[in-house]
Amino acid sequence: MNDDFLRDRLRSALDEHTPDRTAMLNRIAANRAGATRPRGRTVRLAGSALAVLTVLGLGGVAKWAMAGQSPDTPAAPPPVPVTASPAPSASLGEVATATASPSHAATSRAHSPSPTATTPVPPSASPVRGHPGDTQVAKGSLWSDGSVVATGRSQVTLKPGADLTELDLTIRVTTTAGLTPDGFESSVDTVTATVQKQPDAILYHFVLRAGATLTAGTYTFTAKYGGGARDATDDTYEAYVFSVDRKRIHVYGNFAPTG
Amino acid sequence: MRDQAFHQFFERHHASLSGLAFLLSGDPAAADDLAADALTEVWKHWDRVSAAGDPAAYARGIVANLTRNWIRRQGRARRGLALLGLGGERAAVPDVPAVLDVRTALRRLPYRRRTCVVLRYAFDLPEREVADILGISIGAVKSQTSRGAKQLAELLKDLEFDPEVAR
Repeated sequence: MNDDFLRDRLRSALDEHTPDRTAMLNRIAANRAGATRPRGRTVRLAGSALAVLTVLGLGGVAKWAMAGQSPDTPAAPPPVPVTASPAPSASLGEVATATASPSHAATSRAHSPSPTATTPVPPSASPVRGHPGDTQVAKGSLWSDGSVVATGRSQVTLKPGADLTELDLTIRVTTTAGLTPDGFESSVDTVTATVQKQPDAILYHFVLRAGATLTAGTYTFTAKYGGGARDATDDTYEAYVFSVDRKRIHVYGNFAPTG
Repeated sequence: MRDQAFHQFFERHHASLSGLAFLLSGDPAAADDLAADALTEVWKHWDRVSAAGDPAAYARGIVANLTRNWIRRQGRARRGLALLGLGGERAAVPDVPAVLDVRTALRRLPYRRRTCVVLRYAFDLPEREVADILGISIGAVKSQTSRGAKQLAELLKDLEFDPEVAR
């Protein structure tokens, strides 16, 4: 009878808990992405140090550090705000890692994506890729291309050869005289898009909604803008995806006619 | 193919692994992380693990180890803060039966006992399997389970016989 009592209590305690499948998948993906890179204790230690700072209520220090970094790194765009999901556990250091990643990226490229991050690291946390001479338009089962399809419309085409469970695409339209954002378009209705104006560029950010899958096929993502004749030479795109053949793929390119 | 097999494994076991981490750690948020980290280990060693027999048992063992390490780190962090004169919120919670539920009662059990009780009673695993998961003898599983069960039942019944503080 003691046995039944315990069984009953433990099972109902177990029922109280609802695992977050998506969060778990994300964490596994992040772990796996981290496992392929050299990662030292330093990342963790830096994370812990920042966790302590955050706990002590000195979050302002981090902001100050980030602000201090930006003049030194003109090439890197200011970080796109991460739509941070509630951090699973401050004690494991995720909060700190999330807050810290922009400054990490500014000081050392090797730290992204951070091994313990539960959300995919935003592309803008790294230096801008995709300029002519620095492209990777196809990787694994993913093919990509960027082209200016009409005046004021820069389009990225993605052709995943396997289903994608995550997609994070940024189109970066460099500021030129009179440039104004004019929305976006996509052939995919399960993406959330945002447009962010920055001093040196407009960022069009397309993210596949959590839980959605993009089946193998051909998809387009269009950044729309006004501002008359302009030169797209400096415009770039960069995409991070997670493919069901369980690979994290990173592609980047530009809109120049020859790629 | 490895990834496909792992994916199936994930779908079948992620909830119960997270549940195990939850009962052992008492922390719902950390539970998903701990289970995901254990699953990452399973994925890394998939070929060996699946060849050796039962990947689920292997995964449970890793969850148990990772959770033990996590609890230790929690303890260290709390002691560190206490040294700085910054008692964590946990210290501020009065340690009275009023806050005792199954989770807090479980937390009072020594870790080895706790894992035995949880694996045997919440997951209904046979003694032999628990022994394999924890890498201890069947005899040890028996004695740890019976001591743990007794202690847990007492803690929980204290709570029931004192309904005034129960809620």
